[in-house]
Amino acid sequence: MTERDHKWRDTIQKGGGKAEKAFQDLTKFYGPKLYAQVYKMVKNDTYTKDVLQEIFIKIWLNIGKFEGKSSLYSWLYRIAHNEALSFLNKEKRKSSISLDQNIIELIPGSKDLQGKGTDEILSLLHQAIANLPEKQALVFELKYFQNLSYKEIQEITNTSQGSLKASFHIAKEKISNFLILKLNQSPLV
Amino acid sequence: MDNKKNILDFIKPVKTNVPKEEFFARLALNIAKTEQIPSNTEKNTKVRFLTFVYGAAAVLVIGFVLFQQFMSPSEPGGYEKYLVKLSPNEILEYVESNIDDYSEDELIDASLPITGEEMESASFTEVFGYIPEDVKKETIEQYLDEDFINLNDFDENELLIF
Repeated sequence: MTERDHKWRDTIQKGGGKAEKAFQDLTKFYGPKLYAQVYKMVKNDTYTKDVLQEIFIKIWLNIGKFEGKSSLYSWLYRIAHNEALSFLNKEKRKSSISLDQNIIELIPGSKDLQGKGTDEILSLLHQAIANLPEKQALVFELKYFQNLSYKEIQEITNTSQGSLKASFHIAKEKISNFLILKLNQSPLV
Repeated sequence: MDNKKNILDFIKPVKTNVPKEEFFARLALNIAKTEQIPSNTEKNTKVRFLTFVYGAAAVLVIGFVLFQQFMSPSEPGGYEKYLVKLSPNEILEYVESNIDDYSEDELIDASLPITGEEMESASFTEVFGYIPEDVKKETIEQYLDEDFINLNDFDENELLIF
């Protein structure tokens, strides 16, 4: 856990006005990353904000108990992932979610992607990411979807850039293999 | 060209429009103002409820065995003579794996001998004594915390499976 994250956790744990300020700083720093992560799954601004509220309530109520054995972001990433999944499971019973904005675009030139829709590919991407170990999934999220530099990811995860590059490379290989395998199976599920 | 490039090179993520910083600042402030960080008392209450459920099941079976012994103290016959030979641990193992066979009413009735005061004063191991020794209270609490399992999210019937 980084020194900054330690400080935020400890200050929030103590309570009072400083805790609110520390929580605000934490939310401003990690909020956009978690928003992007959740939006990719929920695909709707209003719902993403609802999920985000639940996530940050959990963070506020539980950060004092976070022991810091892993990076704070991996803890937040897990909470966000579980909350988004839980929301989708509930929402599935009610109605389908309207898409505000495309999450991915397909660039012509790949015979594997020919004739496939973005929703299909996105769904496969989610499945592929869900099969990754948490660290690789997290690095892939930050590098591929959020386009952060390794230096920025290093600051968040407190992991060496060499290790991050290796994780991203492995994640990318696994996801590519998964996509090619699934896309060449028909019909697409 | 297609063979040399990774398939992900043909899938371009679209940059997400993230709300402005003020949104996150306001969100944090609202949560901090409205959500009270729970004290340990609340957590203990949840663990006590689980204790209560296990305690109730244990009392049901032990009560039954003692009752059988009382009714036929000299020469137990039939299945009773085998039942009285069982150790409490064996009985409780049976309860653990067959708790679904008991109705909610049976469990509640069986729990009547435990008063609220007794529950307050009983230690975890006194009531949870039949749980394998290597499973500690802290382990259970940590598991619940780490997986964000909130006991309030379950209804009474769901909790009985614990």
